[in-house]
Amino acid sequence: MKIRGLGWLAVLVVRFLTAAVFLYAGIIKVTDPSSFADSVASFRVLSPVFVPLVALSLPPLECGLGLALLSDRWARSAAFSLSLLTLIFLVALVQAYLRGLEVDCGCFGGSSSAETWLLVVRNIAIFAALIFLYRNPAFPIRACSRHAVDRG
Amino acid sequence: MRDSIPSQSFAVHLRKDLLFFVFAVGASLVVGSVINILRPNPLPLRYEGKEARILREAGAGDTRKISEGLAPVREMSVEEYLTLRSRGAVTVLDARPEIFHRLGHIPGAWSLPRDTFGESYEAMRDHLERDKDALIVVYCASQTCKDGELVRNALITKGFRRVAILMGGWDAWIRSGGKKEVATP
Repeated sequence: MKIRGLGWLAVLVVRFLTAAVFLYAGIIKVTDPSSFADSVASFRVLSPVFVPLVALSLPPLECGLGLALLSDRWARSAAFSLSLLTLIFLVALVQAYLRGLEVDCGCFGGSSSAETWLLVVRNIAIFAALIFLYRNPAFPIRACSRHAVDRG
Repeated sequence: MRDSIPSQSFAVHLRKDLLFFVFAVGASLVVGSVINILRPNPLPLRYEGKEARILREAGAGDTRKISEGLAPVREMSVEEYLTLRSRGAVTVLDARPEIFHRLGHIPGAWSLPRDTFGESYEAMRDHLERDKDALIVVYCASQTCKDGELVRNALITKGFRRVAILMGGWDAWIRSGGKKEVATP
């Protein structure tokens, strides 16, 4: 496998950072499902029956996909899944903004409210990182233990 | 940068990724449900809003009737609070999550977080219920925080007659130069 320049380092750094973000977010939400359910409900999109389902399943999903992002085999699929989730969340944020709703994203814990536009910007950045990883999943973590200079 | 991507078609990749997503969602639902079942206080499978939840913990019956019957919120500025405090006993309750109370609170305030109202109230029941006509001031993080109002409503359903909200909450207290008391470990 040819590795050119330091592009492999960029992929590795983005993979680790993105995985860390989702792992942290998932773990924080698992510890306080009630607050996270309040955050989900604040978007006023889901009925009362679906709010707990999302509140219970999203934290382990984020943790699982964050870990999968570190796996060479599943990095691309994990990046795809996380991109989809981030896109859904962006749509929810935009609709909340347009409706003038005061939302608490609950992203990193129950009291992590922020201006909606800041949340949109942050998630666009995360989405961009995930797209980058989806298109460049090919540098395995084990490559960092090999000599990374292209001798071609 | 894409030298080692296998030469499969985009459609094959997409199908594989979609299947992975569906499987991940299903597995997470199972894992999340199991974790919930194992919790001491599982999340109910039908969402209950903050207001209904705290009123239920306060022992209210039909929470819709309780909410509609409550008097308009009585608010109090920091200056009013300081004046009243200098004249006599005022019970101050901090409706923010306990971690924030520990990091800094209005001197003399007790922690009665909205999110753990039931168990926190039980811990201070004897102190609070000595005189249900005594003045109680509840505060939250800021003017936009609704937890103070929710705690106030829950106290009113428990029979407390004089409960006010501190306008602007902790933010207003700090802006007015109020001292901060930190919880001792």
